[in-house]
Amino acid sequence: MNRHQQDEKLDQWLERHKGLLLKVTRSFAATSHDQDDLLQEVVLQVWRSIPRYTAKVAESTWIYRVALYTAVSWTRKESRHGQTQNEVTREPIAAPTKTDPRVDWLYEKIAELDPIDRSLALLMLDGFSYREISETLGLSESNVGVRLHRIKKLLSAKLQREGHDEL
Amino acid sequence: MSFDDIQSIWDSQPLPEGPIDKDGLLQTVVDRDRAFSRISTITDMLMTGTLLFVAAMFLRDPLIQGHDRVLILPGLTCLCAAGFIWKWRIDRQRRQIGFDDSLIGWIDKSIDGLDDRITQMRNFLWWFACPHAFGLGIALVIVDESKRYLLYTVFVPAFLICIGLTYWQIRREIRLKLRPAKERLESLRARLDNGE
Repeated sequence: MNRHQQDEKLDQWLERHKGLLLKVTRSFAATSHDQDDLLQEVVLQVWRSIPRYTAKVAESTWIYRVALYTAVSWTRKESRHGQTQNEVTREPIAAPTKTDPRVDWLYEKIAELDPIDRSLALLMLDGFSYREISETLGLSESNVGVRLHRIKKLLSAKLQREGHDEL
Repeated sequence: MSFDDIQSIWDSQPLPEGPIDKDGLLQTVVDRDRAFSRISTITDMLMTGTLLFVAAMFLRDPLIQGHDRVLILPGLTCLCAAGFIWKWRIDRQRRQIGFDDSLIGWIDKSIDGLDDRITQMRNFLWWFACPHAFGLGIALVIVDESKRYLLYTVFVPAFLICIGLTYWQIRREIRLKLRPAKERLESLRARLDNGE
């Protein structure tokens, strides 16, 4: 694959899967500046991964893998340097499009999870199967099941507790 | 209220409409990719190139003019070191392909990359400084008496200062950047393994 084909592929993927990329960046970065920074990093890694992509996995699964890996690494690196206001003092996120407050609330709750659970929550909410999630993250299916059960319970409890007041 | 409510909130978010500046992103991607590969390639090429240059300097007199044949030894040592650095680079590139594309695979790949960098830096003295020191040692024995002062006043001190400073910088880089980055990835890997 030459450079031109690689650029074309990236262009197609960005058009088709921009929603996915923005969901990941919004879940892992608090401010719009951080989101832009993370988006650049994710797109760079996605572009680099194109030559290794085979049609054995769906495009969206592949892009999710790359995006989540990049986001998890980015979160850990950035939080160590104290450059992000993630988790502790989150600023209101500049949403890519107008969303209702319930969606903002959900993103806030997802951002409170640790990076691995955040990845699991995103994949689960976007309808990936246990098998796909286990392949994406390299975990056993039973491990995925246990973790997702815990995350569902946690999010439901938060919705129960805070949902009535905030939403 | 149940998880189905959360799922319906998630599904209700609209698809973003064209907020991605594709051209700008693509340009950033190309620039950053060039910068990344440039650093790695420049480091390897600089080390290999320097060793080849020094090897040529050592081998020039014995091979062309036929005297000071003992200099063939440090020349060959430099050539071997240069070959070893290049082989290390090829092995690293081959190994990077072998990891699977799960999150764990990506983490393992990053850990391997960091390990490789740390080992390469730690081995710097063997690969780079030893062949040069060997040649300098031989030069001390065979140098013309009228030029011996140059070795003591210029070449030996310059060599010691350069190698000392580089070694200090390498240790600092490993301690402050590479090792913490590796520990972060290893703890992430452990958390995935333990199912915390």
